[in-house]
Amino acid sequence: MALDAMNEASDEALLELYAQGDRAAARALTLRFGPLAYRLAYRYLRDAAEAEDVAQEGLLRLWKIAPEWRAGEAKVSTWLYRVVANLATDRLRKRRGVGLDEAPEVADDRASALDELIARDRVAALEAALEQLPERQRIAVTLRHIDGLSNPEIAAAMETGVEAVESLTARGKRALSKLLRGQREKLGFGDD
Amino acid sequence: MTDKRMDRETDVFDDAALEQLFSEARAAGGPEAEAGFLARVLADAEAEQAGFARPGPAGASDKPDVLAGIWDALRGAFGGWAPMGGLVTAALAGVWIGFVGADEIGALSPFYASSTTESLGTVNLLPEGDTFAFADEGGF
Repeated sequence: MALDAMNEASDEALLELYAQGDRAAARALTLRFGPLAYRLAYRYLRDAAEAEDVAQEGLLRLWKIAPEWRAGEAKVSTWLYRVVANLATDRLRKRRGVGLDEAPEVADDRASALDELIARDRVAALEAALEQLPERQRIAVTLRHIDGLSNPEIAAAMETGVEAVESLTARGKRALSKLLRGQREKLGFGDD
Repeated sequence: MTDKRMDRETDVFDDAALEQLFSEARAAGGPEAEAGFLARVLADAEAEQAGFARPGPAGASDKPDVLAGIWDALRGAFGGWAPMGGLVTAALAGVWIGFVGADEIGALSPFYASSTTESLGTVNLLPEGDTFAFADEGGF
């Protein structure tokens, strides 16, 4: 199949071609899902080397399951998000020795750390504020509002319901507003 | 009054400002996968794919030829095809003798036992009277 056609093919169609031995499909799938898997893993782990390991493992599982893939039962992207998220969560638990749900809630006095940020560096300020959110809130907000995943996709990756994702993102945004309180002028938004 | 003050505090960084930050973060781009990582992923994909292309053991055409294996083993055990030919001849002769009976062998004995006056059907390899002597020597 031509490269253009590969780019337009559905995930399931590409995976079927891959399972049939089509090498161009292997390349197309790698380019399509490699960056996504890496980015998702990085959102969890915040470490490039670990994110690469986890993403590569998740994709390896996709390659292995390709011949048995049943079209229509699940979206390839959703399946991969879930696998990578699970692998990343396991890695986090080993790293910290506690579950994500046991992570402490954000403390009010952490907001003072934002004062050290360079003025007007909005993205850095946002990243710093995100870093201070509880893990699941941070991941949900990042995937929804920066990576552009849909709530059902996030729900599948985080193995929770859509309503829980909505709650996580809402609470995360409220916490971000709270953390960034007082930074509005410094970040160049001015007074309304 | 208290509610109004809280609203002012939480609205200091409202949704619009937050969305502006999200938008700038999206524009800045997320963490990018490096070429080396993608190359490793592709190598994995191709290695797994090579496994799919390899014929599986369940294929009918890939079943091992059991008879050929047996013949090869026998040929090896007896040192080649020539000894095997002799072995097969002897085996067929045994089958044939068993089928026609030992009494009928006598008719053919002149062909391969011309030096003896007895037919093979009457040859006694263990003379009568020596049976017990043979047993005494530990023959049985």
